[in-house]
Amino acid sequence: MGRPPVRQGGTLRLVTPASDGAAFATQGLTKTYGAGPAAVHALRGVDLDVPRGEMVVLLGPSGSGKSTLLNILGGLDRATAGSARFRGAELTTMSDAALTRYRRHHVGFVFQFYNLMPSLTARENVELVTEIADDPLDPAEALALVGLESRLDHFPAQLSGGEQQRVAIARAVAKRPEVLFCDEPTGALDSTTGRAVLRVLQDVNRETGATVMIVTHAAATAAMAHRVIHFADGRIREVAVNAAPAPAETIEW
Amino acid sequence: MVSPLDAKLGRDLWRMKGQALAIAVVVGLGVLMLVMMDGLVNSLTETRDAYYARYRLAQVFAPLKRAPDRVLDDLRAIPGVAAVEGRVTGGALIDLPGLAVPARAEAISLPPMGRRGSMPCISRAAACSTRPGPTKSCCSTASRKPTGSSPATGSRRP
Repeated sequence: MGRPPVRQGGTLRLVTPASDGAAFATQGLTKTYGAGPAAVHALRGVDLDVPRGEMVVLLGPSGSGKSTLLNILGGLDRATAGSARFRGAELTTMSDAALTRYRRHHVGFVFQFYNLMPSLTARENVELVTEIADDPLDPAEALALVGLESRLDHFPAQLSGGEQQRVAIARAVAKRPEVLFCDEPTGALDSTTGRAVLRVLQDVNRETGATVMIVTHAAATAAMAHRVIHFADGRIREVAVNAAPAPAETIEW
Repeated sequence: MVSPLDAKLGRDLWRMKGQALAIAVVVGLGVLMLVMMDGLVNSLTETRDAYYARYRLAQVFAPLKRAPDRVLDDLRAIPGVAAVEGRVTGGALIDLPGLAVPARAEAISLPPMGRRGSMPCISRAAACSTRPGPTKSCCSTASRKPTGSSPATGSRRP
């Protein structure tokens, strides 16, 4: 496993041996909500390695622990027990400030319902992130990456659902994250628009080299992933490696 | 270049301009009332202090029993006391024409050097058809005991 993180200039710097190709490694990761008879076991000891630069799809029924794993790996939630490492840095024991730096400098999030600021234009929504990132993309460049170069000054209410989700992706990508977490990114979209969003995510993975982790119910999405993790009842049921991911345009659901 | 957060603030404020204006008016009126009330209290305080100073009204009234005049010298010697004046007071019952029963009176002695303007108000006495000058017979414990009570009044040095 990698060496411990070294903090420099208020930023969490992660030092990892070149031979260590894992973005994430978890061991016995457990998450329990509540206590006693009413306790809900969202994760029941998850052991997982996620290689860097891969597109990973997490599949499983509702309540199987996919989003909980995503939230813990993304620094939005804390595990009850077990270990979760990002390039050698232990996430489960990080302070709140260190987790904030981790989220700010290393990961991007895309949610099912976009979470855009309604009173800001597409460009300004992306600028919210580029203002606090160390080495961000230009907002117009990030929006061009998702095909919205002609919609820079439109407000979310003037954009379709798919366009809003692409703005959300541009916002997540603009800070050049090493990992992009997507929680049901196509859940609120029709299949055609969803396919366009998946194509954008595939492009981001290919062009920026970011590890992309997608939580979804759509089993067909598995065809475009390098690695598919099947969840059931808080455990990993199966991990499938796809040697030849399909283009997002060919996916049907 | 306007920060996106500043732009958001401006647009959100503009969108809720009615509410923002109402809140601003309420806050403004609150501040206005605070300033007015503070000024009023200051004005009343200064008026009271000026009144006390102009008419040399005592700040302290100390009722004493069986206090001889030499007590006044002891009181004058207290640091901060500007002036001390002693009076003899006492309750009395007096017969007034037109009243079936005796009236209850509060008898207060006058200072030795009575000044114009310092005489007691006699409006109540005038209402009872009396005037300064005539003597009245009364039944008073104070009059029978000249040294019986000697209220001392004092004022601080300015």
